[in-house]
Amino acid sequence: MELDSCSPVDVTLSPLAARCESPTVSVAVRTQGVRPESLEEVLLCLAGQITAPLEVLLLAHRARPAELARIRRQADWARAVLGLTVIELEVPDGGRAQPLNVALDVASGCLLCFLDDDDHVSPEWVSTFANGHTRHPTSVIRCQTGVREVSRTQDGGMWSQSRILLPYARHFSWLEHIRANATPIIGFAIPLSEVRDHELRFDDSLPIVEDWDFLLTCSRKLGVVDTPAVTAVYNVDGRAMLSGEPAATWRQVEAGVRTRQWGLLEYEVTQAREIPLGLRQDVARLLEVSRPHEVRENEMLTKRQRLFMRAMRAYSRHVDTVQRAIPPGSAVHRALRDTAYRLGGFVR
Amino acid sequence: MDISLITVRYEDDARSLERLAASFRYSARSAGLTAECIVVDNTPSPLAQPLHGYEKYIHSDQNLYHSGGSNLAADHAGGRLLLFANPDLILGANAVLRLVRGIESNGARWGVAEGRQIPFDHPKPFDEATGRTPWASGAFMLIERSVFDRCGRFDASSLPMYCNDVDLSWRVRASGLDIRYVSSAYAWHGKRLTREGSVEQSPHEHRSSVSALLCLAHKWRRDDVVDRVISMLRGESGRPRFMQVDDFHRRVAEGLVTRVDPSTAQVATFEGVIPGGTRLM
Repeated sequence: MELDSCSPVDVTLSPLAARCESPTVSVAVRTQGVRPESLEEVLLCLAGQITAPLEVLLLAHRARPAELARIRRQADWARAVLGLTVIELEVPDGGRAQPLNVALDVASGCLLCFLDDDDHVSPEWVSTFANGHTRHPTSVIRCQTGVREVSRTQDGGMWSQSRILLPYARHFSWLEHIRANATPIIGFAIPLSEVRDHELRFDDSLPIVEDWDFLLTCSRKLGVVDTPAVTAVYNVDGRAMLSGEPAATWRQVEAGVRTRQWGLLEYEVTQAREIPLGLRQDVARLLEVSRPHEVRENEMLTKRQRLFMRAMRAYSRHVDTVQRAIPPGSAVHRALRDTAYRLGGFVR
Repeated sequence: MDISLITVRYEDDARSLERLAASFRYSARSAGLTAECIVVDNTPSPLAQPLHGYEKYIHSDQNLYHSGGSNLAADHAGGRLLLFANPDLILGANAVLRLVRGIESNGARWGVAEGRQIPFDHPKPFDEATGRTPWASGAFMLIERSVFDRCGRFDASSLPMYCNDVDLSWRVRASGLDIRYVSSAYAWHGKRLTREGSVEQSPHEHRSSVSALLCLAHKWRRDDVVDRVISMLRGESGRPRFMQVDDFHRRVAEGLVTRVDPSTAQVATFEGVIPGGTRLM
């Protein structure tokens, strides 16, 4: 769902909407202190926001004493010179998710968004999230993220090796996201009260892709609102590895995330008898694609996906539930009641 | 005085200007330099409140644009180094030190050092090993005062704003000095992106920069570039666009654009000045 469009599955504003009339945004910046210049660039990006963040949570994760001291000096500079409200938090142990969970615990804004210490954001990154939250205070707000290949030097130099590319889908689809992540961590903000009410956390047992797993969970529970502006740029240093993990670990961890997320989804659909908020747009799109020639012949549904489809069909037979969840008279409502069999052919 | 910050205001808010001054002062102090801040205000009405952090605030009764405003500020500057910066810049902590080192490197003849703008820098060619680049952006450039004066300052008649930095850079190079891009010296410059991922430019900025490009090409005796730009203007829209072309012809007819002599013109290269794939509208 885009912020400036209407959808037949538009989420009804929750009573919780009254909680944040002037939404404040906390920004969590995760750093190990080994890239001081790029961290400084991140702080400059935050200082240049047209809507100032409420606070910058500078999460020093497993930083050595010298790096910790440097982070503190940079925080002092950001407070004194840039006028930012910076709170340093030392996170001495734990996995990649640990600092993010610390941010979840201590952030005091209406929204929380995330930056790694080597990405860039445009002046309206914070305001885009805040404006989205004003209209959809219980949803995850997603911005458009560009990708740029860069080269970095030891003395803090950087230059672009490519123009800014836009490889990620403009519209959020949970079913596409479970295949592959299409939203870097800088590309979404979460409503803190909702996340805390649902007790959602980053999984600290994951050595990688902890942000993807968290987004899948939050989006499934809360739904996602897309905003059209490109406000974040994920800088990829072509000469550096994404993480220290080998490719086999990536595949294994990703497979584990997919299995767990599908399991959670099946449970919610069959037990709770509701289409999760984050899936409603996917369902609507699936049902719009009803022409056989749009199905690729070689597509095979995974076992888990077939289970999901059976669950959806079982759900669709409960008319009263459908009427509660989906606006009567809408295309989704009609399709679920009348064409449940068509759900089986289009999830890849 | 070691270094003077020069910025030209037109309706920019005081907060941005004060933030620029604060970040510059910290950076200059870190470099061990004495510093001053000068602003020329081209806005019709002067600021009502004093501007914190500036030694000199000069309000101009007429709009001198960037070139004239910068030259006027230079008249009042005491620094041996001049740092030209857009009013909405925020300097990194070591930006001044790294720019000064960039311009004062032993064994090289650098006339101008340009810093990197984040998050979106101006795309142009440069040597990754030395930083040598054909021109520097006036939004964030350091130049020695003596070089600035000797090379004729900004050409306020031919190029009141836009492309005036390219023109100055080429005159610096014609004098035998080089331009250096120092990517480790960075400053925030709040550009936005379009939905297609390119840097946003207002229609006014676009028209003015295209008009300036034509004047630049004419000044540096590149009539082929003039012809190419004019034909691009016609081709892309499907119908002639005369606004920029009319403005260019008017300025030439009024004698506002003075051509350089042919030997000087040889340093001009338009690589990176007309970004590849840019649509001219």
